Amino acid sequence: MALLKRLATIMLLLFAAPLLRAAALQEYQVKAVFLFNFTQFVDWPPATFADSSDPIVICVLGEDPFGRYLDDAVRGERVASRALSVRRIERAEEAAHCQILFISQSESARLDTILQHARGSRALTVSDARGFGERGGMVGFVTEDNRVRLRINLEAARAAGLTISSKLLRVAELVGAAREPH
Amino acid sequence: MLRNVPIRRKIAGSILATSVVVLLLMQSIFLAYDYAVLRQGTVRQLSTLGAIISTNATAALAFQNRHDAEDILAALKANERVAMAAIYDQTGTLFATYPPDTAAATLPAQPGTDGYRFEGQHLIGFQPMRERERRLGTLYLDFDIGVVLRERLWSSLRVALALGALALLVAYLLSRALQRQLSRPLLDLAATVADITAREDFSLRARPHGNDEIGQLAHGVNAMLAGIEAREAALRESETRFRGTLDRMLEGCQIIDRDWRYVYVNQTAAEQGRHRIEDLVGKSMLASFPGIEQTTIFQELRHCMEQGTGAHVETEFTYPDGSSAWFELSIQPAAEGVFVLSLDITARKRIEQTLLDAKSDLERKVAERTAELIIAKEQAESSDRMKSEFLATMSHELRTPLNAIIGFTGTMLMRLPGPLNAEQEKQLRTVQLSAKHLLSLINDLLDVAKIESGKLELNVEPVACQRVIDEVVTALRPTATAKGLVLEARVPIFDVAVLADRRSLSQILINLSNNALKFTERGSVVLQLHERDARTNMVEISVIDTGVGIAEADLGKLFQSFAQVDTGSKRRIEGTGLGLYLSRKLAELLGGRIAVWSVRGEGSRFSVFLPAAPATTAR
Repeated sequence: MALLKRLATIMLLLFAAPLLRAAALQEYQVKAVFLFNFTQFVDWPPATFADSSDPIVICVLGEDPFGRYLDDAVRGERVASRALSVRRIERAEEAAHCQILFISQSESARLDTILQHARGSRALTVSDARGFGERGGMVGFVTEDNRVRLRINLEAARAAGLTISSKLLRVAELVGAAREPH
Repeated sequence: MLRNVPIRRKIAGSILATSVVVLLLMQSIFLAYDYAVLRQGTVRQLSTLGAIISTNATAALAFQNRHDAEDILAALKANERVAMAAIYDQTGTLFATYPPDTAAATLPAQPGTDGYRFEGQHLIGFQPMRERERRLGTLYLDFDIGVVLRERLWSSLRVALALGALALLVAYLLSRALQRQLSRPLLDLAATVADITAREDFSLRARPHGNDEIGQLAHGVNAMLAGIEAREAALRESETRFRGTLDRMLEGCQIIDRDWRYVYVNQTAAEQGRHRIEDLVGKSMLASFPGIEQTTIFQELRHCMEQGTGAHVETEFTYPDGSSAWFELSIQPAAEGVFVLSLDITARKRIEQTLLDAKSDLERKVAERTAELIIAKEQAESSDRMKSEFLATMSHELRTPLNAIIGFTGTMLMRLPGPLNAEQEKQLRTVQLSAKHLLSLINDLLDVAKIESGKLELNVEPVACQRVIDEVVTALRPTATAKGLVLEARVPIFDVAVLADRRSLSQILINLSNNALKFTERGSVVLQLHERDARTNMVEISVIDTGVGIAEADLGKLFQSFAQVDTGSKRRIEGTGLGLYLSRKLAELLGGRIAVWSVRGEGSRFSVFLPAAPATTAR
């Protein structure tokens, strides 16, 4: 049975390859890469890690929209001496050891609770939920003209002790939490 | 081409030329250095620019914000040399360009190797874009350096030209001042030398200005001048001495120039020419001696003058009054023309003539005597020949009647005409014996005559000795048998051949064998043929008897004509006395000889030696 399943996957991949390539810039593929790219432009406070070889953990909370794209994006990569790992979690309580916490749209309803929990950790909170920044999240993905744009709530990040590179800020739109409460 | 330019201009010119060359060299080096610095500076400038832009644009690239990337690239507008710029992402795909509307075709399809390099008049750079050591993409820069280079070149050239002109002006002014300092001593020296040459006054001296090379040159010139002065004095003295010697020489001396004028004539030469010295020197030889062009002397002089060679001649010269004298002339080419030494050899010539006359008289007399002697010799030879011819003819004439006597006596003894009584037979036998003896005497005489008149014809060829010996033994066997003697031939088993006339060899052997038989009463006569003597290449044939032998004193006259040796016996042995003489002559004519060994009372051995024939040619 397992063999048949694997064969089926390979067949699927073989036949679907042209389709996948055509949709190479699929929204979630881009977002997966962006998640990884954040590790290049964001500095966590030293206390975040137990030691210098601790991995940077990217967590996906709720229903995973990336499939294998996120695993592909981080595979074999390192940031300074740190490796990268992807963890899929169900509950906000599990986010304590995440450096980047992606909150799936499936969790939109519980967003405030989740953010509440996340504030205790040092995770960079990311989501493509509408008005994420305004609601206290740090980085929101907004899709305009088929392009993924960033909205950053700098105050939220600073409150968590994170430093965001000015270069990243330059390509993003800055939002405030208080301006437009949802 | 520069050789005739005055030294002042040479010095000034060389200073100027050196300045120009150095200046050009300096400026070329400066320009090359400037160019290298400019290139290096441009590379540095562009790489700095690239580093700044690529650092700034990493986030734009990472988060795919083209608008932001083009914004950053637009900063390049500040540098008008930047022709084009572009950003490629991680996969090498073109992400953003500068200027923003640049066609993708004008840019490299893929980023090249990292680094900066010149391509023609463009400086091209591929700058890696990194964030936290991670390669995000590549920045491409195209920098048009041509404009920069042209501008820099023009400004450098302007400066170089201005500097060059200034330097040349300074160099020109300096060279004028310097050349005066350098050339004055040289010009002074040149003027002094010119003065000396013009006036031929070697007592003048150059004035040295210092002790540099030119000063040393002036000192050298002065030393040379002193040398020339001393040399000239010595030369004058030597010439005076030389001239005095020439003047008083016993030989005539004269120097004649190419126009046939006497340059120098000494006293002896003037006397030889029967002129005074003053009348000759400076005058033409043709005028002084009219008609000299036709003489041998003149031809020789002209030849030496034209060829530049010397000559040595003896010639007779006729004076206008008709008298003549002999001269020995030694002609040498000289600077002016020819130098002639003349010696009067008239007296010697007269003696030579006398000797010559005496010699020819003597030769004439010798010739006369020789002619007389030749006639006498011819007469003697012809009489000798006549004697031999007479002898030959007479012998022949004598033989003819003897043949008749012998023949008819034989007929009578064979009793063909009728019976004979005992007394008649005895007398007839005496007649026959005497006639036969006479015939053999005549035959021998005939042979001797032939040999002595050189008429004997020999047919020399290889002859096999065995056959000849066999024939001789066969012919003489009856005589030997009649005397009760053994006649025997001893020959080798192989052929022995000699080079001889067969008839003569046969005659020699018969003579020797006959003699042996004659002088032997008991015992044997042996003909022995020996092998060829390899050392002398001769063959010996011996006739050995056991007869009376010959006294040692008689051996000498044995081979003379008409000689008979005293045998000691009362009976006179018949014989002509010519046999051995003939045999010896024949052997000698054949290139051999005859030898004899004998012991009185025991026997004799006569050997004939003849040249051996080459092997295998005998018949």
